[in-house]
Amino acid sequence: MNYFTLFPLQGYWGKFVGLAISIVSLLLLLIYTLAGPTFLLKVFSPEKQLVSLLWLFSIGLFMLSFSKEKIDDERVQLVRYTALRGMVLMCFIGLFSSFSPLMIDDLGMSLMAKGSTLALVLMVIVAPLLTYQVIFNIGLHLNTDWVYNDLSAEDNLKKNPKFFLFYIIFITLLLTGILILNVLK
Amino acid sequence: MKNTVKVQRAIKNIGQSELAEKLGVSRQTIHAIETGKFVPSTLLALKLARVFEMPVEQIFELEEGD
Repeated sequence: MNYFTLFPLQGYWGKFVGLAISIVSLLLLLIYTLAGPTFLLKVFSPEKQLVSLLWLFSIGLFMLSFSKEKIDDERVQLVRYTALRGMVLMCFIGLFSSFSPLMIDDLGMSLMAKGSTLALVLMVIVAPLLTYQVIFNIGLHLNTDWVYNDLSAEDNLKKNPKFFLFYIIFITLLLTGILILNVLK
Repeated sequence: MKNTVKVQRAIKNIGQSELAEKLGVSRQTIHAIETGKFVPSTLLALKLARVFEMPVEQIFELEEGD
């Protein structure tokens, strides 16, 4: 069938380019963390170097995430849809935690603005893309049941209450952790 | 949804990889269909029926609750 899409994915080559960019930038980030910022281009400030590396890492993850598989069949498309849902959810969790009322001080200033944009970049860009990669690769290679599960929250609760309880506890802990970290900052 | 893909494949003596190649999908997709984890589209179901030379209803069957 000949589908038209407004947002076509890159070809399979994008996987290799994205993976290469991700690995190189991740290695540079590790070196940056261990050896300090001065080893890189000294014309940039340490903060700018770190943001540049994170930006590069995000670009790599983005290319890796939005490229076609070698055999991009309907199962891959379903797994991709599940992973995209996970990514969007993580993105909103990041946004909700970054712009929560707890993030505004008594003077009406955003605590995020006082600090750096790094936390925001990590929560809204890197974490969702990493979530996508984790879900997509688990679904693609391990072929787990839950990747194909398209039931609503209520139906899942009826079908498997124990797992749903575990899931709710995990999400609650994750959100609480993010909020506590934000408040401590 | 139940299916007899594994049985039909055994009757025809076709491996998962060979069937996947005939249908233009990955071997993991055939495995996912056989284990009942993934329900194929109408198009893929019809392609399967063509390979096995039988009606779709003989390969796929609705279960109670579907």
